[in-house]
Amino acid sequence: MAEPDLLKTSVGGIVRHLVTTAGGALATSGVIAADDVTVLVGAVMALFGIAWSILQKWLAARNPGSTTLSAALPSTILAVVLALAVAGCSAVPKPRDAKDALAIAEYTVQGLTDTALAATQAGLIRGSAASEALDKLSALRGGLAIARAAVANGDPDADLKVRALDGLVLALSTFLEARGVSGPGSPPPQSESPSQPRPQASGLVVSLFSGRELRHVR
Amino acid sequence: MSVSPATINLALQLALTLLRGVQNGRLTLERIEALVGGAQAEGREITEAELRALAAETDSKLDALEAALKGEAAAPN
Repeated sequence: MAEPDLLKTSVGGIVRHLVTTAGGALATSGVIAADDVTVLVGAVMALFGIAWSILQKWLAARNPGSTTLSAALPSTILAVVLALAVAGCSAVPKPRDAKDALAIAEYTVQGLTDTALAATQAGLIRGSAASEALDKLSALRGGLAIARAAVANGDPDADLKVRALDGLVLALSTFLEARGVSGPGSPPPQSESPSQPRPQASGLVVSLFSGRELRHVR
Repeated sequence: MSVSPATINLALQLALTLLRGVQNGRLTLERIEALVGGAQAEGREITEAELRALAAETDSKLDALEAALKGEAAAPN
């Protein structure tokens, strides 16, 4: 990863954690609703992307000999696309039963898989990183098999087994995020304590999408 | 600071991948709404056949990703 990208990823991660922590504290004290924490984080991170782009351009203007394209271009494109995506994305229905939850999980895995495949084909995941991703993929497949069997057999714990997929999706999402790739995150929660905001699944894109999901799911 | 063409190419690939991530996210939401929301709107459960078709589609995508990752894992760094 290029140095400016690495820097942006690092700084962005710190900003996200700070905002998440602050949002959790505000939700706990009742200042804002728990639903709004993820939306807040997503909004701040989108603004961060725009601010980062402006900063890079400003630095480039002050130092004409330097090139900061690798940082400025992705963040600029990302900021515009995120704004469009968030404005147009649809609501996610609340799962009524384990079948609904499994269907949502299947779609989420598909979206994440598509993004991971694109990243792999673009050469962003190579060598030992590919091996690590294979391990996470294997675990995800195992979890999917268990969840599918539980739903098909009418297992009373099917709901829990489907929700366990969240962690496996999170593992792959986090892995992708560490390499600067964001994709659709974990399935929407079926039940959570209102005082505990959902952890961020992966990156800017997922923050914003998760925010949309939580707003409509709860 | 100078940036090599390889770095610019990597940045472009990253940007394209992020764009695909956004598109995939939107598509995911739309498809969830279509199936789960559609079934709920009709007052019915998701059928076994729908779940099986969905599982087959997921497995197909996972197979493609696994093959790509195995290729990258085996390739020299």
